[in-house]
Amino acid sequence: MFGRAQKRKEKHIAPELLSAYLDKQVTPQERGRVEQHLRACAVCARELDTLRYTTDLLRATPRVSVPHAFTLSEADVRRTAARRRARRFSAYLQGATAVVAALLLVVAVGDVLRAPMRYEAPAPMVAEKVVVETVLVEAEAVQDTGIMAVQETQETDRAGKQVVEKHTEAEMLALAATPRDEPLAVGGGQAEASRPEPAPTVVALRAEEPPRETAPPPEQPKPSAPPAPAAAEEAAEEKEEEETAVSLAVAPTPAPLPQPTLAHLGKAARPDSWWTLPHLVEIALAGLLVILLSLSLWLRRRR
Amino acid sequence: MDEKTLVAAAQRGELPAFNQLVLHYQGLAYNVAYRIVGNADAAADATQDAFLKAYRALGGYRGGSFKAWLLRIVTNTCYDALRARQRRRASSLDDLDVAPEHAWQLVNGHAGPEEQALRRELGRVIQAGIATLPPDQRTAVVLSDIQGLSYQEAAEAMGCSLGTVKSRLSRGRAKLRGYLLQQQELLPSRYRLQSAGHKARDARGMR
Repeated sequence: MFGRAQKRKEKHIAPELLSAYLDKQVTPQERGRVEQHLRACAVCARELDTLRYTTDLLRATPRVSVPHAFTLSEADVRRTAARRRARRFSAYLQGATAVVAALLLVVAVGDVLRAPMRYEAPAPMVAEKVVVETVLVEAEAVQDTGIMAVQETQETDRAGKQVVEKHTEAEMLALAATPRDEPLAVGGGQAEASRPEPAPTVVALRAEEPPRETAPPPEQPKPSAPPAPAAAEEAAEEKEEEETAVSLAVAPTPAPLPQPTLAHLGKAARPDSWWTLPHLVEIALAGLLVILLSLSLWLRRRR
Repeated sequence: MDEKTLVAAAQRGELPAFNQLVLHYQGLAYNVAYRIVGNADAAADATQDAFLKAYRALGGYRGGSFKAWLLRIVTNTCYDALRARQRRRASSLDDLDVAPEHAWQLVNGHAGPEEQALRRELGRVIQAGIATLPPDQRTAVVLSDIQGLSYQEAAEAMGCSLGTVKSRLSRGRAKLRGYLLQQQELLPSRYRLQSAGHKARDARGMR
């Protein structure tokens, strides 16, 4: 089928060549080939006839008269010049608008990309959070070591102090499982439950201590009734041991840890931090953009 | 004053010199515009715009055929008008129907009323056929077959090569032939093809 179509295509003259032949726009070789073919091919001869008929009709198409003279007046030329100036100004205006819009976009995108660092997670807060966690872990480790040391001392010095050891173990567990904010109070509470008679004094004493105090005062007022001398001696020793353990546990903690949320949110929301250079540039560019767009719209409406 | 002198004077900003060129070419420009846009008012607007553009663009004219340079401006202005009309979704055939009478005033005033009526009918059918062509083929047919420009002038006016002119002309003629053979009964008898039905079938069979 394709071969037959190809044969037929080769057989007849291409329409473009026939059209050019009609206009005598062919080379002598082409003209010879076309004329030779036309003598033998009635189909191409008829096509040439209909093509010639078409061009004859086109050449016979009547010319129409002009409705008026198209000459230009000085006023036309002036108006045209003014319109051209206005068009040029409008083009400059559009270019300036595009540039300002692009600048505004760049600044705004840059500002948005910088924003998470400034507002969503302030750097000091992250650092402090990490410090708090690190200190807690370290404190627990050190506390373990300290309590073990206390236990050894207790074993060598006083074998009969099983009650204190139990209390220390309980406190260690409580410290390990207690949030940083109130470690001692909760630990003290648990110890209080399992402690013998002198314990309430120590627990009450510890509960009054500030949580991050590294060096407790040597003499603490005792809110409960004074115990017996032997018990008081034991209590004093016990207190010393516990304070040592607690001081070991709390010692690495840095002095007053800032409370992250409120302070930093307040800082981020402060109005003076909003008036940064990017924001001022954004406002200036947005204002300029509004002015340029208004001018463009006004010019277009005027035109 | 010859054309070169007038063009040089117009390039120096002498409006009377340019207006002499306008008077010389306005018939050609308006007829080209009329056949391309198919509407008298739109053609007048396009012609006036084209002359204004030509006056402004005279500084960029660097010799060659002034007629082809001017016709290029005219055809480009006509394309703008066609695009604007397409945006308004106006039909060129409808426009033809409402074309004012003065558009069909023939230039040749020697013809009698009957001859004028016949040629007016021919012009109407041909214009309807031209309106079926795409703009580039339409321009090629108008410039070459109706206005009689050479291939070289048509190529300059259309801003394309000779080969492109040949190709556009061939395709435009083929489509117009099909249209005219189908619309034989609308043509005055003297403009009909002899045994048109037979030849039309042949023409369809060849395509």
